[in-house]
Amino acid sequence: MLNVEGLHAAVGDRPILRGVELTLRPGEVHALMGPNGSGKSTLVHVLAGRPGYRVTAGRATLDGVDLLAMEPEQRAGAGVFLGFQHPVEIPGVSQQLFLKTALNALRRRRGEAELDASDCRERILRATRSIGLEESILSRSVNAGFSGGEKKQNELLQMATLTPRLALLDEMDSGLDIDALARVSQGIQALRGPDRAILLVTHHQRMLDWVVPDRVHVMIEGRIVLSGGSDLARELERRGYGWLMEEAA
Amino acid sequence: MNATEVQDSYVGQFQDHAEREARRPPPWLRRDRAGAMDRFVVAGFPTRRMEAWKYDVLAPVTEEPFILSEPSCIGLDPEDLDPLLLNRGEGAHLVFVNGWFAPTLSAGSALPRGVRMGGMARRMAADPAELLPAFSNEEAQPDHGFTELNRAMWQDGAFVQLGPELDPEWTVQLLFLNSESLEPLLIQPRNLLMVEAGCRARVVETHLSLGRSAHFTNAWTTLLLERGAHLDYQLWLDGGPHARHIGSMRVTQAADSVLEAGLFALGGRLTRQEVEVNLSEPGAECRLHGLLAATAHQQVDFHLNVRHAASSTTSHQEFRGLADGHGRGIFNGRVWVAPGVREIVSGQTTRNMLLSPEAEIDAKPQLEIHADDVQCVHGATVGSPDEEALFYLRSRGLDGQTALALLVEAFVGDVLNRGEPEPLRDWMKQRFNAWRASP
Repeated sequence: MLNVEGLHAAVGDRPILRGVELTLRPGEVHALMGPNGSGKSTLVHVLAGRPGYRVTAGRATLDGVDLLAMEPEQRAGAGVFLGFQHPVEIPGVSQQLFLKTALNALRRRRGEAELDASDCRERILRATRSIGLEESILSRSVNAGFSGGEKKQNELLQMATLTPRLALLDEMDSGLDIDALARVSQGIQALRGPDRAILLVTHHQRMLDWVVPDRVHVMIEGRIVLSGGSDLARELERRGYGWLMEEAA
Repeated sequence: MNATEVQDSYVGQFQDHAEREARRPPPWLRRDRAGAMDRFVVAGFPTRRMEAWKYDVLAPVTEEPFILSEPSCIGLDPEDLDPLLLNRGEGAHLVFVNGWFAPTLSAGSALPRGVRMGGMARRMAADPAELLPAFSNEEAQPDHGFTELNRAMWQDGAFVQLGPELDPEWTVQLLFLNSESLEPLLIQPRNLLMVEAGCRARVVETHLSLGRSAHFTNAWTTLLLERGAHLDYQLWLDGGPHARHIGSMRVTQAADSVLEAGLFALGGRLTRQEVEVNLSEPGAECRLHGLLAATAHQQVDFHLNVRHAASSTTSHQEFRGLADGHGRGIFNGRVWVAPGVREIVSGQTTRNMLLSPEAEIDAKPQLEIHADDVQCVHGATVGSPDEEALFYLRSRGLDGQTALALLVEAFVGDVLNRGEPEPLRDWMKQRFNAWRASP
């Protein structure tokens, strides 16, 4: 489904990704771990099309379609969803309007008919309940004044509404207390599906107790240096990244 | 034509105007007009060397002559006005065509008790003595060439007096409508709004255009709020891309009066609105908000001057600026606190968004505080739309244009959504969206 081959990317003249190889199949959840600054977040942002990064070599395809040639909104149309580590506050834009606009924009891109107001609302309400959020969150402005946990859950609400094929979730566990972490993790677990692949970027193993990944990858200095099963996350928790960094050097 | 030649043309028109004035004005008004003309001749138009005008490019009004407008018949039916009218409920509207009161297009025959309104020229002819105090109020005298020009040659305008028994939902709309004509016209409304003690009232003043005319409206408005009066006032300047508009408004607020005012200007070749609010007695409060928006080669300038002349007075200002294309915006928000007054609260926020590299907004808060017991908060920002927010929206499938439109809507929504009642808000949003969509 997602194939990343020899991907190199830079910010300005500074190389960050130095030959990433990664394959995700439908239904799989992969965790991407690694020390700060290793390039994990850069990888998901490059895949989602964030401006400011320059791809210098390599390929990334979703179901055989070249992702890197597309604008961010076209990638969303192709089924890519980026869950932000720091979701953006947009005062004055209601969640309801935002979700409805995004949902219909994606439907148009996929060649589907737009949903009318009541079908939209029904779809959004169902997604809201599935994430365990109160309906009242829909009348608030996008992320404005949300707690850390609410922001992360709100990313999942968008994911549940927009039903992407590929979800790239960037550090959904950062800055959460243990209760919020449990809620967000359960949300992600509920969004697993046979047709959907999820790439979880995380620093810590905590979240992986709830969302048990099919594969765990370790990124160091812009490359995936080690991949393994879910046990690898526990080993990393125990041993840290030092031994891998030495090997990589 | 240069500014001096334009000025000379107004001197000539002034003499014709004085000779032709149909209803003979009272001697005090003749003197008032002549004195203003003399001062205009000496002072001339403001120039960019003056601090208060240094950002304004005045050529669109000082280097072309405009012909003093005459009452004209434009063949409009009252129903033609429907899309331009806000009143769907209780209220009345006064319509002015090229600055002249048009009674046949206006409605409001069954005025509530305590309400008087109509054209200023008729009012002056009927009872000049009644107008003398407001016209000779020293606090509200002109201070630059444009206001002198209005004072010398104003022709008509709105006279509105609202009494204490008025239903607060009853809305007055002043609709200034400029028509298409061959010559660019000089339109000079002189407006007087009086809100009596204890009255709660709502007035909406709209300046719109029927064509793409390049007329010059040079308006002067006096607003008097008596003790305990509460006025909700909205000014909507939307005369099209070629309109020239210089408006001066002087507000005097008595004790415990409240002014809630929205000021909105959508483009125009040159639009400058001055508002001076005199909080002259304790307990007076003004809350001003609004939006200035400019695109293409338009220029919009808000010049606010809030004067805390008495203790226990409060002012709030919340403004947004939006500039696209080569548009220029200017926001000057002066707050002046008199020596020795106490318990002053004042807040001012202006946020400005630039949508193109060539757009420019000059935001200048100006605080002059001569007292100690003052709580004063202000903030001004100018910046581009948030790139992070744009990417966030695009990552959800919205194209760049839709994402930007959503951010702009949210940005202006802060001030556009304050209008009451709801039909007014909807009307404002429609006009704003039409302006955004216009080439």
